[in-house]
Amino acid sequence: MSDFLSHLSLGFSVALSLQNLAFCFIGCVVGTLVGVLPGLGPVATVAMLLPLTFYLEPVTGLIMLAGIFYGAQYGGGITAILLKIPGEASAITTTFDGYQMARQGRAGAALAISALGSFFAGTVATLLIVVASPPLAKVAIAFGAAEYFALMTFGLVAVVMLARGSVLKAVCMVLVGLLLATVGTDQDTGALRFTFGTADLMDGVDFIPVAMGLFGIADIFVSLAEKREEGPITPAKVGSLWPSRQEFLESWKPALRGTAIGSLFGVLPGGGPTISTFASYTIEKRISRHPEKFGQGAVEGVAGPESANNAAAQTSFIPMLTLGIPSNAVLAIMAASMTIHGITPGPAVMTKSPGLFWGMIVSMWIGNLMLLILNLPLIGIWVKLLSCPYRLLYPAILLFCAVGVYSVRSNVHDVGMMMLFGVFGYVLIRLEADPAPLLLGLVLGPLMEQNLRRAMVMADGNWTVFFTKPISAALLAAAAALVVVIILPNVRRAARDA
Amino acid sequence: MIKRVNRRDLVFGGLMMLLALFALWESRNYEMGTADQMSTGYMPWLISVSLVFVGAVIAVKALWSGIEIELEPHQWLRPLVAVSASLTVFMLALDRLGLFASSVILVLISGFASREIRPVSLVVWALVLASGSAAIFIYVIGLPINLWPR
Repeated sequence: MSDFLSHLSLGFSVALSLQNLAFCFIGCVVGTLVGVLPGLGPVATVAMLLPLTFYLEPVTGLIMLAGIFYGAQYGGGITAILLKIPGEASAITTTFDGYQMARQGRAGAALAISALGSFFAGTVATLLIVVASPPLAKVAIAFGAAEYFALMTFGLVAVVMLARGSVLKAVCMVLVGLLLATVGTDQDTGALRFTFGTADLMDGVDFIPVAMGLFGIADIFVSLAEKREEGPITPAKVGSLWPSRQEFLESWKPALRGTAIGSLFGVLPGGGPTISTFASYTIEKRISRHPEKFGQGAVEGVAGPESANNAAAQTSFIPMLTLGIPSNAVLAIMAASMTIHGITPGPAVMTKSPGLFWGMIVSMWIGNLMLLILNLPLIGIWVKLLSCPYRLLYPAILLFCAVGVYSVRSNVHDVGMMMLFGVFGYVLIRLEADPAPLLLGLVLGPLMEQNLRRAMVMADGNWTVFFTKPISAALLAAAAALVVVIILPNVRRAARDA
Repeated sequence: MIKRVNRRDLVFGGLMMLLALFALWESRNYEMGTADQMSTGYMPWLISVSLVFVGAVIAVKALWSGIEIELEPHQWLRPLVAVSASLTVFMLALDRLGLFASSVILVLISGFASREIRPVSLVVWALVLASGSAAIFIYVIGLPINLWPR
């Protein structure tokens, strides 16, 4: 118990610094904005702002990026309710019932329930992180090369199985990412791989131009190429902001369940907010006594998913903070940010940089609080911003990306690299392949190769070592189990329809 | 039942195979080493072979899993060219012309990507954005970059 309190107090002392509070606020506001605007997502934004974090303290940068991530979950719900437009994929389920509630004049209640549920979920999830991280990190320290390799394999398998769309394509994406990771100087032998004589590639394919290209630039291509209907969108009237007693009673249990579901799915690599919302919605509908209410404005359909997505957003930090394995693209980018500051994500972070670790966790809770208090009054502004024409928005994003990617290494070729990956990303999207697993492959690639090599050296080339060592075998078995479970049609259909 | 070819997946599978085969060819002279002493080419080989295999599976499956889907028309050529051109020019111009001019040029060229081009507001917006990025990147962050042409 005293450990718990001392961790928390350290966290608060770091998180409450003026600078960290300010950047937490900035992150939350930007995140909400990004969540409100359809098209621009947290991944692209986090990738765009990554260069900026170099000039900040490591913890401050991470706080801001984290704020963007979970802020976007809040923001997505707002447009889902008011305009039936899901700003984020995790808000799709909210459009089912949230918008109906708005049409019935209960938009305010929907927004309030969404915010309150999210805050509750965020608080619980933060506590979970505080409680679960130390034991997890202790377990991880016992990991050897074989165990780490098995863990990363499990992570990639999970990402692939839970990916939207075709599993086989996701496998290809991961493999491409791993292949890209081999470009550059081979760490062990010093030989050059796939550098084609350029000096730029000697250090490997830089992560940031790839991330910004695949998500930021490709996104611009998609938005510009689609035929956009520019019609005046009339948002529903907000009405009274306080839910009725009845609505309260109907929503606290779904919020509880949503929190549990989100916390669980969030920890799984590749899981995260989106799949949590679908799971929550499906479950609420199944156990409801009046399933026909769903789709007509059932409060449960808002309370559950909105809590789930926020809980998932928080707990998805656990694998990265304790094991060094990012569960999704946003976290991969944050992991890269840590690495650039010289902090290797993994179990050692807790002991070597406790201020950063606990400060970040506490700040996530503070961010949730900020979002709760600030968002509801600001809703009018968010809605107005939606009318900003895209033809003004995209050049701004483009310029920001161009200068941003340049600022990382002061190398103009990075702009070209970003452009190439932007084109590649667009091609992938048109071919119905989700680029996110590629990013994870790129980030985990070097580590996986290193661990594979080490494991093999220690095992004298015996491949069965991954199955004879208990932890490693358990992880690989879990990966296999995941494959089996996901192949079951129901779960696959839910993920595919995301 | 006549099954059609799923073009999208066929292209994707083919692309993956091409990529993997290219990697295999490029790495053909790398030292492979042995399982207990993996050398340069081992990992790329493992990955490429897997990629060829999975790509082939996708491509083969595509030969009979096609469905007739109505796709919304994607007018991709113009944005692709305009945005790529703007980024390329930016890349080439940055050192010589400085941040401000390059930014303006980038915005102006990228303006052609949109279906509605409003020249005046585009120019104004270009100046606004160039000033904004100068303010953020040079004055606030202190990026060592020329603002003006040399």
